[in-house]
Order: sequence, then structure tokens, then C-alpha cells
Amino acid sequence: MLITRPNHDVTINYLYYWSQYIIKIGKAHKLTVTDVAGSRANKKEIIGIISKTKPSFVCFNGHGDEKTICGYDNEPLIQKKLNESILSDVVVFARTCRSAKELGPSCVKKGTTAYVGYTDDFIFLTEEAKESRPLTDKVAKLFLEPSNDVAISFIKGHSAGQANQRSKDYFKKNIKKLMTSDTPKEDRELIPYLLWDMDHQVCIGNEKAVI
Amino acid sequence: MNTQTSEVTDEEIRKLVVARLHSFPAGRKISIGNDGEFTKDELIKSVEKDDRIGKKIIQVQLSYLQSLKEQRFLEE
Repeated sequence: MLITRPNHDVTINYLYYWSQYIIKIGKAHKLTVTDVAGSRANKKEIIGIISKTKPSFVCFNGHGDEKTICGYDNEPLIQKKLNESILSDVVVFARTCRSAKELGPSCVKKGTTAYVGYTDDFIFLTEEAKESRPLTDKVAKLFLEPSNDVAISFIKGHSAGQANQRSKDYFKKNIKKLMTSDTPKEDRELIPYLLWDMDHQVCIGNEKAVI
Repeated sequence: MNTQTSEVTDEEIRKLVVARLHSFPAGRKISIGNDGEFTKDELIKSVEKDDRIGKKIIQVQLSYLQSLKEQRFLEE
């Protein structure tokens, strides 16, 4: 598997750190994990590695839009109608904003086996005091663990449809936990944003695909 | 039977969302993709100005209110 982890701003730095769990579990399951982190997450490097190693699973972390997945410094890595065929025969998890709206379906048309991603902005909350230590941020954890679960489910052998559903169930579990009467009111304010991410996470392509 | 329907204006929706944002705790930020991270006060200003971020927050809050209306989490 290949995982991209740029870290050029606060939001992306959270994904950079929380993706460490995906890498750890990938290695524990004896997968060959190509970790493309920091400034190495640029177009030349990523395209080169995909062409050369032909990974069965690519996990992108970064910014994006309807037609683009970005890397370090928001350099476009994969763009609709430009180079999505590089992801042919690959299972993709794109933790980027909105790329499942147009790029995902376009990738699948060009041969991507399955594409799990978000059709709108991926939103999460953080604790200001924890920005320099993202892994200690218990608020961000409520969002990033369920999202991580897409990649972790793939690693554990689940299909694309199952990985998407397991992740959604994880979001739902966190939402229900926050709905209980003993949850402080301030924490209940997280629910709309968890629901948003859960509702906009989709699986496109072959739901039975495994990595 | 009461057949009167009540239209909620955009201004009333913005006021409702601002009221909800007031209970958003200090010391937390919302990270919205490329747009960056926003504090409670910044979000309130955005909703009042009705800019892109404000519109996004309104969408999120309305989706949530709709889920409550549909009792999505009560049936399970």
C-alpha cells in the first residue's frame, strides 16, 4: 500500500499524525507500506512510485476539491481528465475534501477498482491547545478514528463496501455516545459535524473489492 | 385543521445557527478543508456575513436538524 501524508498546514498536520495508526496496522499485517510523508508527497514522487510499484491500495491525505487530490503545498497530484488513469486497478481511500463528487466517479470509469472518499468538505474539530500535539487531541480523535477505520478495515481484509460501512458505524457509535444525557452540552455540539462527515463518505465502484 | 404554513426566512435561519454557535465551546476550532481553521467568533461572523464558510456551517446545522426531525438515531 501507499499512503501520502503532507504536513504543510495545521489541518493536514492532523491527518499526517493520525495516519500513523494506519501505517502501524498496515505493517502489523505484513503489508509493504510506502509512506510518502511531508514534502515528499509531491506529484513527481507519487506518480513515480505508483507507476513503479503498482500498489493495490492508495490512501491519500490532503486537501482537494471536486476534481483534484492535492499533496504537499496543495500541489495537485491526481486531477480529473488529466491523470486519473494512473489509479487503474487500485483501491483508493481519499481523505480529502469533495474529491468523491467528480474525481472518484471519473477514476472508477478509468479503471479504479473502488474509491472511498467524501462528496463534500471533510470537517473536524480540534482543541486549540492540542494543535502542536495532534495525537493527544481527544476532540479530533472522535472524527479521525472513524475516518482511519476505512483504511484499517481494508488492511484487515474487508471489502470496499464493508470498509465504508464499518467506518460509518464508527461515526455513528461516536454520535450516539455524545447523545447520552451525561455528555456535557459543549460536546454535543460535535454531533452535527460528525453526522456531516458520515453522510458524505461514499464508496464508488466495486463494493466487493479487497486490497 | 390548521392549514397555515410558515415560511422560515434565510435571516431567521442565520439567527438560529448563530444561536447554536454561541454554545460552541471556546478553545475549540473547526477545520474545514482548504479554508483553514475557525474559532467560534470567526464562525459567527461568517454566518452573519453569509460568506462561503457561513453557508457551509448553515448547511451542516440544517442537515443535523433534519436528522433530528427524521429521528434517525432514535429508531436504532
